[in-house]
Amino acid sequence: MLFNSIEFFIFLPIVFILYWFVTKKNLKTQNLLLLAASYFFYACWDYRFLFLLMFSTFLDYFTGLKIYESKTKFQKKFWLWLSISVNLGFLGIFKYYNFFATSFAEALGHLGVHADFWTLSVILPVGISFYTFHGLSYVIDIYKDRIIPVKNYVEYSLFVSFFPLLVAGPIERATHLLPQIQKKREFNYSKAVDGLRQILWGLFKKIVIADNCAEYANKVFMYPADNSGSTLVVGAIFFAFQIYGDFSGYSDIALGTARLFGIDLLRNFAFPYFSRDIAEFWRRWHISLSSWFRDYVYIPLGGSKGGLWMKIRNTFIIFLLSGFWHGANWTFIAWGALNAIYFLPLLLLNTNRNNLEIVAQGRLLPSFRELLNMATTFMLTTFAWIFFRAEDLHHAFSYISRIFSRSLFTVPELSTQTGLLLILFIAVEWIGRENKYAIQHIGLRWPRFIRWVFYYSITLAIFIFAGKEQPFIYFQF
Amino acid sequence: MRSFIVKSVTFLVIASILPLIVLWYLFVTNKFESFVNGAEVYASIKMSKEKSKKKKLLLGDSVAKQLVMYNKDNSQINSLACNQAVSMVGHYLLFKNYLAANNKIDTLVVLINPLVSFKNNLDQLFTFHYFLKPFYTEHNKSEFSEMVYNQIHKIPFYSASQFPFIKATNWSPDFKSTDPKLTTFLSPISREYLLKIKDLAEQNNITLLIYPPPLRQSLKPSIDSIRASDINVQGLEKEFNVYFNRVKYIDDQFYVDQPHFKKKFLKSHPNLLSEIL
Repeated sequence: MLFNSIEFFIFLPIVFILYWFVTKKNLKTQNLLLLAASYFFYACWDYRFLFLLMFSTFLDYFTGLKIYESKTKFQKKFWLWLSISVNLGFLGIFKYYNFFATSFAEALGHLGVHADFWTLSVILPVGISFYTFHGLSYVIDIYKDRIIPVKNYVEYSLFVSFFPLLVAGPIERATHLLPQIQKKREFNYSKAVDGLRQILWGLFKKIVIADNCAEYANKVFMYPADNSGSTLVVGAIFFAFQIYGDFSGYSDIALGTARLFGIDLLRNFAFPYFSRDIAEFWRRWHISLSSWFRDYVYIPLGGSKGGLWMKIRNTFIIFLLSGFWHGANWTFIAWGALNAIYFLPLLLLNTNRNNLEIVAQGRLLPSFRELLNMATTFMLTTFAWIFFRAEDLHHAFSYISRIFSRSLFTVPELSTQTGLLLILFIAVEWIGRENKYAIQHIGLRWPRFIRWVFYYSITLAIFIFAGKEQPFIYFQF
Repeated sequence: MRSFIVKSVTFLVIASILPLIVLWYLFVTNKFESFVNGAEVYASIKMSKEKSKKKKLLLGDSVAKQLVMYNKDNSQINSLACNQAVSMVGHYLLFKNYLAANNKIDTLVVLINPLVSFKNNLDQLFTFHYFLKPFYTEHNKSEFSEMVYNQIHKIPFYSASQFPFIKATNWSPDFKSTDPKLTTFLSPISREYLLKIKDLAEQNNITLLIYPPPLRQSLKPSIDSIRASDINVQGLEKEFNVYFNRVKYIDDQFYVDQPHFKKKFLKSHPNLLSEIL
């Protein structure tokens, strides 16, 4: 069940009405209903993997309790590593086994040794990378004495499986979400309206921006040799907006949906393309994953407190892991490595925390320097996206080499309609960059009639300019 | 809560009605024809009803359309080539429209890829967009044979294809044919309607030529094996003899996919279509 499908727009009001009316605001019943709805939502993808989700949930619930009850450090470690091994084991089998088997066989092939490894013909359970990380953060937090385990199994299961975040995040933390699940929730009018507004903007980003950009980017990426260098540049830019519209649009719908049920999820995007350097970009892009790696990998490894080599090592580790988290392909690893290379100078010069505030805060336009920095950062990230989007490394390199040809200085073949939509989109995002999402406060002081016309215009735009439906990119991760 | 539900429902109702109004407008003014899936088919239908003095008519699939687009001199050719998904029934209806508009031609060229287009038995995913929506109209229904009706009735929601709110959007059912895979080169429907095209051409003293576009070199073994097998072209033997004798192969590097050429190649060969014809 996709967020942009008719099924979801039937499912959501039904759950909403049952949640606020039928459960009579009884917390236990509300949680049970949300859990049942979440399992139903997941089963719509593939009911067979529901059992994997349930097993993973039970494992982390159980090991969490065991870690807490353990008297010795050894026992605690045992339960922690049991959970980590099984969770990562599942992820390894479903997501990475084939990659390692074929890569190893290829490496042996280069050495003249013929090896034919058995590969698995399995599909990737949707959301496995997300719910595995949910569970891991929970048990690690218990191990580190940051939280105490939750006793109520339904509450814990809902923390892992709450349907808005189940298949593509945000990757929640027990410290943030569990207290909300355990607390009585009252209907809040402005929160619910805000949720609907965020859903509307998320749909616009996905259906209008991402899906239209995808049509153009797919064509260009499919046949790079058949396009001029300038068209390939535009293709890469369109992909940059496709992935942003797709994933941040998804996140907006997820956050907005959760708000309808009185729950606030972690923010996942904060206008990343308005970043002035790569460090700022990574504080604004897929925030829940970046902070997960920071808290559970980077800091435990020593963070940036050690010597020079430790800084470099840790930076590469988290960026490579982040790339690898996205998929079992060398292209993602190259994408991660490239971002590490971008990040490193900032870290070494200690300028990685220079741009913490919102760009041009309180001003309509940025300064020339800010504009230049934003353009440079955008150019660097777009270049890295070529690796992310390419089928394999050869594809990426042939795309890049074709860019740097004489045809780079020709007029690109452009999709004018999508180009104009993008300009409008960037303008709205710029105006709303000081809010949680672009249209959060736009028009709130306008007369109701004009405000509604504004929302209807967005709805109509979604309808009229809908691109060819594409699956959410992050569902494959 | 009550206020929230009332306002949300009101918003949703108006938000649902607004697109319907826009759709209705697009449908009534036929403006939808230029942006829905299969827009090129509507363009061909429109052209098929217009007067022309050119003496050569071209029917064909997307490869033929590509060749026309990059051909330097189209002064003698009127092209209604659009997409293979219209099937031979669609090509026949375009031809019929063209004659009904009192256009006089001496030659009809059907330029078709051998491995995809002839196989179309109205059993494809895009049949809904490219055939049902533009052609399954009251006006055309008398032209459909029993075989065509049998195939159409296998497609879910076929009768809804002319509803304004479906026709003017890109909605289509997820249709996957369960028919056994055709082993013949020419589908039964393609054969039936090619014969109809031939009859209509003969009645109007028009020479019918069925030609292939240049094919990629790697397809040669497949084409040779088709020629060697019984391809069931009864009534069209002469035309297909010419068809296969005219197959010309080009290096695979000039293609973007199985049938389509790279733009760069077409730009550097502006007389490709003229040479074929």
